[in-house]
Amino acid sequence: MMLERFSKYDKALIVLVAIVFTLHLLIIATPPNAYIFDEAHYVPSARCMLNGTVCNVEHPPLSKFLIAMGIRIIGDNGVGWRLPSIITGTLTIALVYLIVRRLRDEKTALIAAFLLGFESLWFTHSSIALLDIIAIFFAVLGIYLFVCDRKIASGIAFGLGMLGKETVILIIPAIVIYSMLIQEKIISKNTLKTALKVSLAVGLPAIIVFLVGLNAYDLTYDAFPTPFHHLARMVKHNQAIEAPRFSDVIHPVRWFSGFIPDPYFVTTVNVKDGVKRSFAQYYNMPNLLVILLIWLALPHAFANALKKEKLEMLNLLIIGSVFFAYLVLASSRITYPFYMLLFLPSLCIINSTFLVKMPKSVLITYCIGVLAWFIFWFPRNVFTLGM
Amino acid sequence: MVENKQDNDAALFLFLAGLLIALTVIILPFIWASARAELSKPHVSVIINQDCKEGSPCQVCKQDGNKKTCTDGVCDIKANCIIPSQNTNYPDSPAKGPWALVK
Repeated sequence: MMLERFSKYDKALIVLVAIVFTLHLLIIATPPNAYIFDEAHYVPSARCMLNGTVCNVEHPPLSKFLIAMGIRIIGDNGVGWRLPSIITGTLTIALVYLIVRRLRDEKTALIAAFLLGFESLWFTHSSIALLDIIAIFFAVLGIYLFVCDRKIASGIAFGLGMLGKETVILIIPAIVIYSMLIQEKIISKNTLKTALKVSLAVGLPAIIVFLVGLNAYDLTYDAFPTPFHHLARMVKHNQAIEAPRFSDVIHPVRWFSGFIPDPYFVTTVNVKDGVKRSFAQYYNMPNLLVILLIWLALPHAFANALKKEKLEMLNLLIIGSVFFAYLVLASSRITYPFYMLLFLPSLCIINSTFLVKMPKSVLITYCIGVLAWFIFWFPRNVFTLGM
Repeated sequence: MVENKQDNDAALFLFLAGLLIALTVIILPFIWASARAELSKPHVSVIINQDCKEGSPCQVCKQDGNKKTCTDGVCDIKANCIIPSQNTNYPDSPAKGPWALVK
């Protein structure tokens, strides 16, 4: 029997993944044929791909291609649009488990998987047809392959991630710095050699896969003469986007402190005259119990990173690299809170390394709190289920 | 030992991928059938804010028997109630929910 080869933690992960995936399926058709948030851009782009026309070239094509495959296989409706995000978002939970299990232990791995599974922003974005979750799935696969010491395969996965959404490139510097910091002497010839090796072994396949993928799209759709022209168009588009005033946006400095969420798609039901209840409630609201715990987990993680604990070091570098990049970018271009999705798996991992040290009662109470928050902000309001 | 670990990782990951396919095949037809049934019902759609002046808030509602579901939007220059996208990257392509297209 296949299940016998799995440990009790593996089995708990299987149950967790099954629950999260079922919850996704239950709301996949809510709404069945209306766009949620930027589905309004990416679903038409996926249709363009199927029709052989060129559109939305400011982002690379892989995520849109997978959405298009969903449409081709299942149909041009909410189910076909959203299934690729749901599958990749759920499988990312399993990858997080595998990464932590490899670098630490199964208990910590299960806690990290639980936190990501019930993180509201992750769940919301995994429920809708956008580019990010599909791209991050490949990025986390790249991290997993890197910790398995399969660097070229890792580079290929990062390349596919960048083809999903270009922002995945922000993780690669963290990987290179990590490979330097785990050396005995940080400043030495050997360390520089290692950094160069990792840069070539991971970065080169990533760039090659990215450019070949762009070129395949450009040739198929006759979009640009070379992938470099395509890349230039992507850069130009991003340069043209301006930064609004500090007070008008949720600036990255506010990501870790809670913010008033923006609605992605909110519908209300009139319960009786003048009394309204939300029905579908897609917001960009993270699970604050998960996000705010980072303030407690950070000092603990820093101390362990200084002791060269690989798990903490790698994930702190990923959070730092992505967050710093957006912090700089925010001065010249608008940034959105959902950009934090790129480091959310790492944030959940850092939190798990802190939580695992807590007494069982604290851990259970905290997990109940995470679940309560998740249920309250579940995209289909559970308090109007019979309506 | 390392290979065993990787084998176990691969086995677990493949098992989970298979599980997702199985759950999709089992659950999705029911979900999609109920969504189709809901879509096929005749809906009476109304815009609550009849004087839809550009920039003013409006709601697009669909009435299904006693159940009225409304989505908040903003009036455009042609008095359409547009369900806005939060993304300001693409000002030339406003998001229009299909519910908003039905007057």
